[in-house]
Amino acid sequence: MQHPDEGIIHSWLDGALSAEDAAQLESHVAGCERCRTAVAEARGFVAASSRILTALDDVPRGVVPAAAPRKGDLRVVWRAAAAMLIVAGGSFVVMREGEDNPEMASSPTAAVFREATAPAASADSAADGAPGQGVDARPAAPARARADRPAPSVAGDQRAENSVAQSYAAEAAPAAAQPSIGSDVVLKTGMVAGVGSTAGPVAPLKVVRIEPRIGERRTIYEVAEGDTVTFTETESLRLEEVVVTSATGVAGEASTAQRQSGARGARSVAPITDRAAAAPPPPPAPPVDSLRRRDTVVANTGVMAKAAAAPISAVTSLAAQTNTINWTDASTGKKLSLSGKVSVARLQEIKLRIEKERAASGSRAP
Amino acid sequence: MTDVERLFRTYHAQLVRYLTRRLGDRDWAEEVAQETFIRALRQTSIENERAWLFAVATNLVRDEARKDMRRRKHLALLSEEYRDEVIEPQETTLERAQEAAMARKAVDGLAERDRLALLMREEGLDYNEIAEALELSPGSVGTTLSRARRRLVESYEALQKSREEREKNAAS
Repeated sequence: MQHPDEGIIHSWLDGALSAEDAAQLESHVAGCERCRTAVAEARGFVAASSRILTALDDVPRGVVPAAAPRKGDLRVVWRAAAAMLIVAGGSFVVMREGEDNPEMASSPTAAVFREATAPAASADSAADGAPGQGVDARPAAPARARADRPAPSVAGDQRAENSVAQSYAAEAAPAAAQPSIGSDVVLKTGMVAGVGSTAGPVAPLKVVRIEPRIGERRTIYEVAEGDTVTFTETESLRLEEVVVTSATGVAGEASTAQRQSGARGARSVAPITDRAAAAPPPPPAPPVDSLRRRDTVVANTGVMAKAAAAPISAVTSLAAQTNTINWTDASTGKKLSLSGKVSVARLQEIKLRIEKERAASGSRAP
Repeated sequence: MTDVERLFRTYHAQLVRYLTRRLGDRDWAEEVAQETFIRALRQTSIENERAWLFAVATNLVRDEARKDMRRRKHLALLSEEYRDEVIEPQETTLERAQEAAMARKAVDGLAERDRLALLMREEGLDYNEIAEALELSPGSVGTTLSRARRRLVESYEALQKSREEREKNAAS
């Protein structure tokens, strides 16, 4: 065998030679002084280079600070995506439940969803039992609770027919500022606490009011006597449109007062990032937990201290009476939603009528 | 689909070390390693996993290197901004820091292919894997490695010698 070159020796030391080649090389090296020296030197290089490379591992972290903000951004994106998924999933649940059970109120799945999103605040009025009494002003729904809807404030009778999809009151009206404005609003907006029926007969769609807003437009229809739904057209999708957003008044004054004060929080207009701004200042009393916190807010603004202890289950069962459907206008790409305290089936039917009317008018105005 | 979790468990540490040695920055190395595993996710199957991972990581580094100048400028600005937030580990002794600096210099002095082959070998890649990752013929890997090792050691020793001479001059 010829003297192996340095590459072959390294291959041998690295175990990369075939058994046959390795055996040949070994027997050669055994009898060749020069190659023994070359092998020893190669071993030295292997060991030394390995040691030198190990010294490279003493590298401080955080040399590239740019990575940190990027990770943060990613988290935000993921959070937003997760929120969308949850919301979309929730809507799906609501719709599915609606198909199976138009009234939905008793659906456990839907109830769970609502429990997760419904604000706690109205538990109070339910506990009280006196319709419209004492609920002079409800604080703007706590940020997170807005989520969704100002839960219906309910009187002893839970018919809750008067379906009012949103809070229409003045923007973020400070709760305590308008203690007894409730009935005025009822009259003004036509959302009278009527004796309609959720599954009442189909009445012609009557526009109660149109509310153009930045990025969206709302139309409040009276679909039956005392029964209104809110139709929301949105230019671009935001979380809020997908979320159920409606309050269902029961006995006018109480619910309207609630609407009045819950205003900003109840609106789907407020971007989620505005929550802090929309929420009322935290109450002085230290909250025990989030639910209690909302209760405390209510109590603190003079609504009903007594109600603070009301169980959350009341809220969920009451909140269960509002439905929302969402869809996208195929021609304009707008996100549309329809909310009201009627069954999903009814909402679907109203949706068809609205679409028909819109098509007939040839504009977005019904 | 490729079992990325298993790939990650098996090769992540190796890959990060390889990249850290290659790049001199552990965060950057981890970023590149992550990107490598993300790409592995998109593969339906990978024949030679380790070679594939190291090849992809190496290519990513190469792409990154093009952006390097821009990045350095950006970093210079950021380092001002983040100075207070970055906590440098203090356990590195002066001597170790000097050794690391010399090692870095010596490694950087190698030809790119020699350096990569050597770093991959240090992570346990066999000659076939190195050949595949670097698109070399398997027969040339031994030669590449022997050259890389010799040059690295000689270069490091030269740096060490000049440092010792400097210290001697400073002392006298």
